[in-house]
Amino acid sequence: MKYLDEFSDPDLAHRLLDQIHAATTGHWAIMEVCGGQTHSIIRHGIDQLLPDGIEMIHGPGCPVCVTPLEVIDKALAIAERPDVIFCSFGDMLRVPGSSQDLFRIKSRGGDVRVVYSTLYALALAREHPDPQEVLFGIGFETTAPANAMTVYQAKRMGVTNFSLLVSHVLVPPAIAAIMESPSCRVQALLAAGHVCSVMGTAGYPELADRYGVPIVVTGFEPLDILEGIRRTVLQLEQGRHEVENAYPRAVPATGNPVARRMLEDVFEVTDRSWRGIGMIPRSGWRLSDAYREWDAEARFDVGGIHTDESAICRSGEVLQGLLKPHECGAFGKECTPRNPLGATMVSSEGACAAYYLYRRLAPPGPAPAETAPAEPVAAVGHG
Amino acid sequence: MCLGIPGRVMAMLPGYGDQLALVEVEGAARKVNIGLLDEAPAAGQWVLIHMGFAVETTDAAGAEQAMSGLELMGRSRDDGAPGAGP
Repeated sequence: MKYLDEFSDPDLAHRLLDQIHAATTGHWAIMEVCGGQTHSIIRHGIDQLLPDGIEMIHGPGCPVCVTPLEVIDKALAIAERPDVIFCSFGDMLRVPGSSQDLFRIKSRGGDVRVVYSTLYALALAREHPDPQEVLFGIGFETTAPANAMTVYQAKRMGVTNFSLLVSHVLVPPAIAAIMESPSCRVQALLAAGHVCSVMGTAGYPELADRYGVPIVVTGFEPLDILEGIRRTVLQLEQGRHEVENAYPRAVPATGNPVARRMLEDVFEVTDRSWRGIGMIPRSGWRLSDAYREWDAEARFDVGGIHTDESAICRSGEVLQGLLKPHECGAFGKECTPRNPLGATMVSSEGACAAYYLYRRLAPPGPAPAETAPAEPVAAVGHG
Repeated sequence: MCLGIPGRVMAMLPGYGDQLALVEVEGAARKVNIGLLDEAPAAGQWVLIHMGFAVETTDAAGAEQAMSGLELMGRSRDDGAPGAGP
């Protein structure tokens, strides 16, 4: 496919790898922020082809993985109601809540529907005026414009039996939280290209300066990732910490101004809990006052949720780059994609799922699952 | 979920407030909302799709430039010259 196949060329990949090997003299820990990049790295074995001195640390950029358990449980409580058609992206159906998941509700007769376009949920609401249609609005800056546009259209068309269960999160505050963690080993970042397609790159120079880390925006094909790593290594070796755009075919510096205006109108910044990480100040969006009427949390009585997280799942450490998936004692045993304990084993962007799908590695050395879990990066526990 | 899907615009669809385009995605024709783009994309243009919305047009010049840079770097190794910088 155009703009994908060319950026998977194996000959060019080898040449880029040669460049990276030639440039690397130190030991560097580079975090790829986005789960889509993690999957590409593991799928293509890129981390195994890099010099020994380069470690790829997998970041928290998996929207399914970081949606807090409390929100999942709220979604389940709403989806169980007989007067609700609950629309979600497919990735969310197998994400474990405290006691069940959306698949189980659907199997018991709940009206849970997988949508590929947010406007389909709105069309459903117009076709079926009796039940309430609820759209599960999760994700980073990439999915938010579609959800914002859908709420905007609901208001414009006066569709009152539609609402959005919002759990949007933002990448830059998460990067700041990770960099400020006492356990942080990250020395450079590969930023997620598609987030920057929407938001642009303006938010990153401040982070690069504050934490003294190179940040290279890049894409998801092997050559995109290798070029991102090559540029990152050159900066690290030269002692620079700048923001570079290695993905210009999809990332203008200003992002998408129309989408950004829509986001500013429909959403407002708020504190958000991240599953496995904790509360990160000003790290998410909620509906703004003008659109609060379409907020599913306000419309349905889903307060008083008691969450119950798996005692052995260590996905929080995986999401912070403190633990490799196969180092978790439950990996591939109690926890598999068919029976996941944590969301990182569910999502097509989750690091645990990537390791399971492409490697099935056994944990090396003594079982690290017996070590004490690391401190979360933020002050408050998840849920 | 956060991964945009590339598609090539086939045609604008009449009606729908001029916000829907027919886009070829992996050989299948999909209706995609283009209301988040500054201007309607031309037929043949590549777009990045998130959740049924085109959020960015692919910059052909940017793609060609990046690929040229990578290819140039490859040639430089064959020639024994140092690799191209960023």
